[in-house]
Amino acid sequence: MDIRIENLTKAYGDFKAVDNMNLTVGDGQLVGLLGPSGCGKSTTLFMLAGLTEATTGRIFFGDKEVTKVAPEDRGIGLVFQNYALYPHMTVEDNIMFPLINRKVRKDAARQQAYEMAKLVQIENLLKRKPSELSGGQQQRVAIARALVKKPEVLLLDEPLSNLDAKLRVETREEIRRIQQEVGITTIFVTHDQEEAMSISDQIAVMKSGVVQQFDVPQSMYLNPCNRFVATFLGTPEINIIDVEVLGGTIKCGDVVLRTGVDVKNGTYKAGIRPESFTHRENDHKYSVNSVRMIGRDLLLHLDMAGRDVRAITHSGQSITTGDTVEFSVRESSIILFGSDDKVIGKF
Amino acid sequence: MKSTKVSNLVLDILKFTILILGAIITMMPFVWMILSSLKTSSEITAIPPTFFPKDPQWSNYQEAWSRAPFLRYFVNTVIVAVGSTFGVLITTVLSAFAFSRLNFPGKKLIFSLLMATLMIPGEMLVITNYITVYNMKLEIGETRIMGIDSYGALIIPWIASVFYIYLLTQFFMQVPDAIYLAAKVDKCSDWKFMWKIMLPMNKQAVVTIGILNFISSWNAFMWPLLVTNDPNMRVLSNGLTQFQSEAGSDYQLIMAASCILVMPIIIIYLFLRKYIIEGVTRSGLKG
Ligand SMILES: Nc1ncnc2c1ncn2[C@@H]1O[C@H](COP(=O)(O)OP(=O)(O)OP(=O)(O)O)[C@@H](O)[C@H]1O
Ligand SMILES: [Mg+2]
Repeated sequence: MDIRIENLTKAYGDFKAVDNMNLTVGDGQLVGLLGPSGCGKSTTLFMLAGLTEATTGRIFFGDKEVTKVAPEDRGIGLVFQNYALYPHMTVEDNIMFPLINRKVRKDAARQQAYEMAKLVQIENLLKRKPSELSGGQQQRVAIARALVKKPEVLLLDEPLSNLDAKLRVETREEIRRIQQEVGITTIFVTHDQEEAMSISDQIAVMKSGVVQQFDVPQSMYLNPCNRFVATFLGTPEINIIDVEVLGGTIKCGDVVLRTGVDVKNGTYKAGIRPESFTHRENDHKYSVNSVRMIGRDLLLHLDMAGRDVRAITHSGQSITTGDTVEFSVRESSIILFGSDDKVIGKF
Repeated sequence: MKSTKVSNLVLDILKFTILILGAIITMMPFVWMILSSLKTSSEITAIPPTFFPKDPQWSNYQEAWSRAPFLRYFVNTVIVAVGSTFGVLITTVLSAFAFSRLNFPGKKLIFSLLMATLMIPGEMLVITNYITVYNMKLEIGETRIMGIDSYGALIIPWIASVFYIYLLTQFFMQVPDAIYLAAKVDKCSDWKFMWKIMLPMNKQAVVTIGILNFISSWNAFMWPLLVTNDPNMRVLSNGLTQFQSEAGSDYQLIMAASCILVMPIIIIYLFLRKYIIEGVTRSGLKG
């Protein structure tokens, strides 16, 4: 079932929590809704679920408009940030609850609950209470409960934020597996860009209620549409520096970064990803302010005409603080932003 | 190492001595009541007093039982306590749910007004309630539903408690919104949500309220005394005082009657001990 969101707005008084959102999600896709805290992700999700009424705009599931349809009739499964399991019921009763409310016979409901539990691999925990489960297990119960009524759309609101780092990575793969297995159209809310990039088919980045960009993860990373998206994606964060363009040369202070570009003279903000720096003989010499090991790579802090920039290089080299390194910036990886923070081009 | 062990032991001994002393002090009047109820009339007034009855007089119970219609009192008390507790639970659960979950115009105002009534001393309510009850005589055939000497008068003024409503509202408000929303998506109506989720999630609090109300209803004295003239409508507490004046110096009979009076409460307590203790400690209430 594909989802179509048209001009969707949610206003609280003068404040627009979601502002004129347009989005189309293909059937069976997993879309990550990504953005900082308070940008309107949950609001969007709750409008899709029917728990929050849209101020204006329309939502379609397939060909059917659901904007005014009650939550229980939309055919959605919803997983909350803190799982919202019913604490007094066993895992089995929790999973069966949506079925029982839909007048499914008890033995049939139990059978379906068991199959769902098996899908999320908690079939041996059915008789426990939620308080007797780990966070990751509770999470699976919540997913099973959301999926048991065979919804056509699965909505997940920061489902991993209560888990520790390692479990988070495992569980997100698990969510991806379940999603693929069931083939359900899924919207996944998160404020963790790495999480969104790793499991989403497409990502929508939001800021202050407005969708900034909607794209597949790689292309969004490589071709951000504005400074916010560029900054929001990637760790370590992209370097934003002041540059001057004069006669086709991009300079930061006295450091020449690029020559022969076709951009109007003036001062600009430029974004350079840390991994865009590459060693090249006889290029500009940067002095190294500090060196830090991050996994396989070295994170260097370099001095670029008095500004501190981050650069990543592989850890095979022996570089220490105080050294000088000769670096250039890879082809078409200097992103220039206009005064409105939109991207002018990559050089 | 050794010295801490010794001091721990001393501490333990001290702790238990204090606890045992406390237990004895609390238990003493109660034990005394039971023992006295088994003495003869001369033994109970003997000086110096004996602790254990020389020859337990079980017949005291028989006599006390036959001297006054305790069975009738007992049935009355049960009807009143069960009736008012049932009423209180229903009104409390419904209003707590409304105040904590539903949105309706004037909700805050109504809640504040209810809270304000907590400031009115109970003694003042007694008078107005009495006048209301007195003027509200209502009979269906032979049975009196309301008015002096009716079960209605004994029960109906006590089927709602603002304090319990306040208490349970606080409990209900602690149930996260997400649970409510999840239930919505799971096709659970408000009504069903209340019974299937809200209530079981707050079982402790509800049971505690029920028990506390039952006990206070069981022990109620002034109101039943006011609204009943007919001995047949007396509850145990009034019956006992009445009996006290009738029995005169037969203290052993009064003690036996007292034992009969407290027995049901103790039995209830033994059965529901777990709930009472957990409920009272969790709700920060003291009995
Ligand atoms: N009932 C409400 N009344 C007024 N403002 C609200 C209401 N609910 C949400 N908002 C505002 O709408 C904005 C978006 O909220 P939302 O919960 O969608 O954020 P979010 O992106 O999910 O953030 P987080 O990552 O912290 O969960 C916030 O600024 C919030 O303060
Ligand atoms: Mg949120």
